[in-house]
Amino acid sequence: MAKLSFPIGPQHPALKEPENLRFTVDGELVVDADIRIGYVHRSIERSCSERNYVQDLYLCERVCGICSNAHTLAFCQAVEAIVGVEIPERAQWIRMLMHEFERIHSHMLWLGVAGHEIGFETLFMYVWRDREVIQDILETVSGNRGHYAMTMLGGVRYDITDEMVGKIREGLQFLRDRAEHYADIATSEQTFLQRTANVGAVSGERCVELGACGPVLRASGVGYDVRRAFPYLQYDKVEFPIRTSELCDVLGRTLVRVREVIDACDICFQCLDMMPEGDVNMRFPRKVPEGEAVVRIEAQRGELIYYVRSNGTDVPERVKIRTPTLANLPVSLEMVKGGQIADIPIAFASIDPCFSCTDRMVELDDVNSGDSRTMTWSELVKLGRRA
Amino acid sequence: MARKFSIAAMAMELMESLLVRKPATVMYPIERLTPPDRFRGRMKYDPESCTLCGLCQRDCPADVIKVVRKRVEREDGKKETVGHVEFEMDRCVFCGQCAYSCNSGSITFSKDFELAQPTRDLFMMRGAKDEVDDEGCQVDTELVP
Repeated sequence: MAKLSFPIGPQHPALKEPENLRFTVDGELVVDADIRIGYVHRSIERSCSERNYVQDLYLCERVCGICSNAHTLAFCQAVEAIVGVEIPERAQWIRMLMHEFERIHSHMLWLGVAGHEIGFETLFMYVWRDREVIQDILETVSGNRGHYAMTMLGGVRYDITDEMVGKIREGLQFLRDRAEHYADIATSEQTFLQRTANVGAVSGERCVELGACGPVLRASGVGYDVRRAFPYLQYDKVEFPIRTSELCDVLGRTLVRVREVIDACDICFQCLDMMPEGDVNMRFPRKVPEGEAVVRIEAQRGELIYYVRSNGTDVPERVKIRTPTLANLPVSLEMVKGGQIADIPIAFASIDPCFSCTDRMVELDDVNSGDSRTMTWSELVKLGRRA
Repeated sequence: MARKFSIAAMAMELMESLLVRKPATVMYPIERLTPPDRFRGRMKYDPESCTLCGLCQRDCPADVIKVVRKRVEREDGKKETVGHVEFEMDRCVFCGQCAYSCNSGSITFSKDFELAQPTRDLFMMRGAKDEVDDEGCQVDTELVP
């Protein structure tokens, strides 16, 4: 049978976000895959250079709707590193708590989406119902279910009161029990096993070669976690295992994420136990001295990198964001190659992609001749249509 | 891999879900959930306590707030600042930074979450400390201490 090449997207009912996927198939087998991103470019990095640091905080928060706290955390850590201040210890613990809350809600969201992608709608409904517990906790602590506006320059906005601690503990214990239940389902439910075992397999060596990160990398047997490799906040004081799996497939990625929910609950319990009394924020200068900083944190989807360069004013000169999805995209193409067409949705979903977070624009000047180019609006429109 | 769940256990769970558990959702709008204390709903502005300092305008990430102010001389010879604040609430992202930046507590957020309006004009909010005519100058963020 002749090989057939066909595009999916940028607008397609199967896609949650606009991206262009091109597959070459031989019958039901996927032979080759390519991806084109850039349809949801929002010029966030450039906009950051037009606003002051306080305004940038909320702009960075809106890079992603799911890992919004991770973005503000990385941005704040970078700016605080340039200023050279250390925020109050209690604020660091609360930041850590929020970071893990977000990991729980994100992984549970992903598990529901994974259930939906394989047609296991019951799992989707149950997981998303249980996820409401962590959403309620986030709302109680920060005031919002998403875009929490909790992390701010110099600390966190709100303290965790004694009344909240009881509700948080109760909710986390429920979620921990449910996560253990879902781990059982993932390893015993035939519907789930048949759609995930040996699907989207990529070896650990190949993941490292292609620069994968986060749960995708750990599910291929590589035990790399920024929280352990380069501890930030108070991660060096809490105990948690680095969850890995030798399965290298979608099932492995599911197990890593579900077990990370259990670990995140345990980290939260330790945070609540070890959190000292004290201030939760400090006075932070409006103008940031000249300097630059690179910060890496372990967001839910993987390693999130922020680069901030300041010029001594209250507006940053440059903000560069490397989201984990960008690092995982090359591996996702490897996952679908050699698999069935029907496995494409779950194989792609297994990296927990977020294309809106990922879209960046890079314009390279000719280094040898020093030529630079200015693009007009009509040229940009033309470029966008061609893409 | 062996299946760990027995039919009896599944039947028990099904019976429990049918007879004991309540639905996860509520019958909105007949029944409404109460938002938590820190919820950021409809914004409230108190012009009496406002000092028109412009900190909210400077920190607002969505350009919602415009502070218009002017120094005027009272009859007793003392100078005071009068003006008004305009809020384009259709742009608001409800981050709460304005309330955090406000030193006089003039901006607060209520628990009211039903904010839909049929037209954009209805989102415009205006609070006057004392009316100021068109000669009133918009706060220049550079001048704010």
